[in-house]
Amino acid sequence: MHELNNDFELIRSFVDGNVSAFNRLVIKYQEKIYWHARRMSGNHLDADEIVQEVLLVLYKKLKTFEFKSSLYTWIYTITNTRSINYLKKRNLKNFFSLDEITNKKSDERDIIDDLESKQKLEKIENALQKLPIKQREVFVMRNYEELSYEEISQITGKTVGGLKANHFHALNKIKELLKNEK
Amino acid sequence: MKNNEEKYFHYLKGKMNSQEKMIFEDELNKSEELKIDFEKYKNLIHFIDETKNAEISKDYSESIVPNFRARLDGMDRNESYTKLKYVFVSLLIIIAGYFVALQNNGEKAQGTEQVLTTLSDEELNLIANDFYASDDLTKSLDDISSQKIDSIYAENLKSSVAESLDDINSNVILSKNNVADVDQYLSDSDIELIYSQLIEKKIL
Repeated sequence: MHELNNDFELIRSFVDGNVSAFNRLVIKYQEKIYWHARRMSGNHLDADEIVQEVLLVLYKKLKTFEFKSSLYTWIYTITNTRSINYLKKRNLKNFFSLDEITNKKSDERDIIDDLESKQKLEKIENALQKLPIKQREVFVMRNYEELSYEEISQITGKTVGGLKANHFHALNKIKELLKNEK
Repeated sequence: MKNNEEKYFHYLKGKMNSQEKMIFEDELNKSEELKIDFEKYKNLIHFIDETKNAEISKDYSESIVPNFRARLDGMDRNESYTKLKYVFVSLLIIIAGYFVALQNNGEKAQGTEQVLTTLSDEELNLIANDFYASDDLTKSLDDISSQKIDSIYAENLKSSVAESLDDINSNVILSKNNVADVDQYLSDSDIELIYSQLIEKKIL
């Protein structure tokens, strides 16, 4: 309740013209936004781009937020939508690109300090990128955000049955891919 | 193997009550296949949980908001430039349209003048004497040329024919707006005089 009041107060303050209230909201949720974008996109550069897009949407639409859900759920939904749109654009660009597709992983600066974490992250990211977007989406939400299928259904607009099926396939594929990595 | 993911998930995340837990653990003990499947799932979740703890660098974390602000400022500037561009292009189109329209009017007037100067004297006389011929001619003229002809025609009427008419008739003529109606009051020589003056003044 306190967190709700805090978010409510920050939003109200932002609507009243306090720019720093928006900055505080961003700081509060930026890592969650980043990590979801990173898990969906598979690299830091694309994740950063998605984060900026999400912040822009929040900046423009925050005044219209009606507290029908928690602010985090709303932000997460926007992040997920933006991530998927970004990936579709990326796939299209790669499909039509005549130039060699650059390896964004080799280009990115080191934003993960811990080496062991970095190696594990790379393994799971490579595996996730081999999943179709629909399977990746439900896998990330289920296993990273620990959401129920009903909650995932509300965010994505997909049926619970469909999500369960996609997750089942995603799980088996990830197990196989990580087994091969070892 | 049946999809037991929900059971595994609830068990590992502590979402089962004690009775449900007992039942599940009993199932695990009774089925080797289920045990192996559950172990694979548990290892994967454990691996994922380890990657959840990865932290992003402080530098990057602190750069997110300033980068967003810089991008926002850049967008505001771009929006202003875009609006200015639209205004500028619209103005150019309006100005170009004005000059094109002006050009077209000039060309039409010139074209008409050229047509009229190529007519023979006989044809010019026919136009001057025959209302219908002159009417056909004026239909091919634009409004500006027609008005000029009418005004000069009227002016010449006033100066050259008013003297030969008595007051009553000259008032009737001068009050009429349609110059073609006054032809009945003019002689052939009057008409020729007026017509030559029109040509002299380069209206025709």
